[in-house]
Amino acid sequence: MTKENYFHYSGERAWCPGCGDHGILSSVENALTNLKKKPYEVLMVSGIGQAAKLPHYIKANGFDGLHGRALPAAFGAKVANHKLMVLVTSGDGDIYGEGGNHFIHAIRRNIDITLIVHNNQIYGLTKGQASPTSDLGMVTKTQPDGVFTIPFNPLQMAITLDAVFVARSFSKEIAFTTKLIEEGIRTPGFSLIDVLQPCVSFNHVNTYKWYSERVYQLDNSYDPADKSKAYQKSSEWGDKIPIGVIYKNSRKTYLDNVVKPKDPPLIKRMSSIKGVESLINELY
Amino acid sequence: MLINGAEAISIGMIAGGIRFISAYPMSPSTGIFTYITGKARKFGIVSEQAEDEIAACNMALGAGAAGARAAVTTSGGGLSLMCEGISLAGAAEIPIVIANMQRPGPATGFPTRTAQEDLDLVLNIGHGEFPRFIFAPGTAEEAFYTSIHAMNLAEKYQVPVFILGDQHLVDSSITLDKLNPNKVKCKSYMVKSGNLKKPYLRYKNTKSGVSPLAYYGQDKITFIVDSHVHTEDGHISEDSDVANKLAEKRFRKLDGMKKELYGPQYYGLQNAETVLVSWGSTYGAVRETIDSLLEKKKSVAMVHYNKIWPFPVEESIKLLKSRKDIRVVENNYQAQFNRLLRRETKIDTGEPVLRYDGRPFDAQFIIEKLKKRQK
Ligand SMILES: Cc1ncc(C[n+]2csc(CCOP(=O)(O)OP(=O)(O)O)c2C)c(N)n1
Ligand code: SF4
Ligand SMILES: [Mg+2]
Repeated sequence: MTKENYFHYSGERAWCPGCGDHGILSSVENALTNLKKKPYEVLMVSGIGQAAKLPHYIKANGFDGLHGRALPAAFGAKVANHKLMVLVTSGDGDIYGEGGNHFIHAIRRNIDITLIVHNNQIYGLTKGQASPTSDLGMVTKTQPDGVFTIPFNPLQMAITLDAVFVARSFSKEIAFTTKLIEEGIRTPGFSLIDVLQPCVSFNHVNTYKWYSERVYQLDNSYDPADKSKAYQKSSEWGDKIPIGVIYKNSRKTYLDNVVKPKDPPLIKRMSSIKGVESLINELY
Repeated sequence: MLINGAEAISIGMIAGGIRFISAYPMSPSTGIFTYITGKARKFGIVSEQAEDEIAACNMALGAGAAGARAAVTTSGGGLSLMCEGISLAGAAEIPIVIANMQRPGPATGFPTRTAQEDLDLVLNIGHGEFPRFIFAPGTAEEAFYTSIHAMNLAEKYQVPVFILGDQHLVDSSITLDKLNPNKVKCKSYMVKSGNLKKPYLRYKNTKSGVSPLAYYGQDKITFIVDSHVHTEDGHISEDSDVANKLAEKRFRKLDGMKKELYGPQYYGLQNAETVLVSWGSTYGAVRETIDSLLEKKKSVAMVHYNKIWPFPVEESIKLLKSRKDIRVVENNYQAQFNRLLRRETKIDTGEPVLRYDGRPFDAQFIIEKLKKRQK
């Protein structure tokens, strides 16, 4: 049975034909549809970049803020209204580069947000400079001698910080990515889904062919609850690249610490004059 | 009662309906952050210590965009880090209150002393152009009422509102008879559910420049809050007509903003020859100076500025034109307010009374400086 997709936006998208971002968008739409969500219940947050245009191309609430700052904004919005389902979709440069510090602390806070990183291993919007995940040796106009700074491994970082859900996917595998996004959303706390995404215009190394020849789906024999195995798995890169849930764990979320389940969202609360009077009276 | 500026701003923000506060500790602003955090549970507020001021600002913007009244507290160095976020508040029309408590700079400066060196920064912070409010309360009492107004005005106009204080203001305790929390009401400026017109346009181009403000999902609507040049429904646009209309809409808010409180306050002899000008925390020392000079039968008065921006041009001209000697008193080297006053009113002012050693003014210091000039 096919469910109605309320999220599909039929307007134009300013993405290159063939860009992996189209596949990620389809996966997001499918996941939200499968979870029986309505557009008004969902907030899509992004920074700036090609990937970060996604909130404009989906029927849902959106916050398209600053380069690198999607995670703090998403945190603020989720705290303000915890009834919203909050997803962040942004690029590898945005989340791991400009916003790297926020990535670390968002994992520590463990607020219930699902982060989908469109990892094309390049800065697409600004026309092809290396990103923190660009492979060693990649030549660009700003890395003319090839990248010699070691790549950032987001999965390993997330595992080290005990993120509750750490997954990797490949944009072309829409059904598989859909399932991972659903699982990430269903997991309470901060979920990371790093999606390998070909940039057909500027990344001529990590192409559809390159990824397709390397990615393989983790099967049932792999146990994502084992932290040291997960750590090893997350370092697999080169001839073979695992996709699937790499690490799972569970702990209290940020909101478990600050709101009681029956509390109204912050936006529905008011300060009482009586309360303010009591503060003034404390000063006598 | 005994109250200091930090308590006054904090209680004012709580009375003004603050729901979310984020900050990175920095003297002399930390007292506000700690006070509100201490009361957070009781008042249903969430307080978060961010990893840096960039995060603090963007968290507050996320909360503000979602419909919760939000504020950040910081001091110069932290404010510098919030620069881009404040520009986002301007572009995306997100309510936010920024309490910047000044200390001497540049860079680390005098961490625990006082200054009024960030006026030019606050007037201009954030790339691009957008309207803002700046208030500089002179006493703890003024700070309390101003902070309630600040929370209201941020939401009413969907602009960044600055409370520009300093170490002297936050750490000085004063004795007051009473603070009246009923004097300034916390008032919601969001669209009431049921009154929401569909299709909802987050950036509807209205006569006042202010678009109806809803929260995500209210009455089952969706909308996007956006940092680019955007259409009325918040989507990215490259159109020149859209860009012009958007800038004009934002700046039309100034018509309303100019009419909001507080005009400059006059104190002293009606037609005094010498008028001292204070802004922010120099109020107390200037007022003392005036009282002491009045006792000596001198022809003096003062004008105090709490609202700094939009600059109260007409009121200033009314109060200051054809005075013999106008002397701005301020805690900085470049006489930043003096420059602003001259620029906005085209009124000539005399040599300003300045202090930039991290210490607050006192009447004696001001009188000495005034005497020196007369020689
Ligand atoms: C503060 C700031 N610095 C730089 C930029 C320019 N900029 C916009 S997007 C971007 C990088 C985009 O790369 P990524 O996040 O990987 O997104 P992609 O375009 O590859 O999807 C840069 C450098 C900006 N908008 N803001
Ligand atoms: S430049 Fe690359 S990332 Fe951007 S739309 Fe084109 S293919 Fe996609
Ligand atoms: Mg990228």
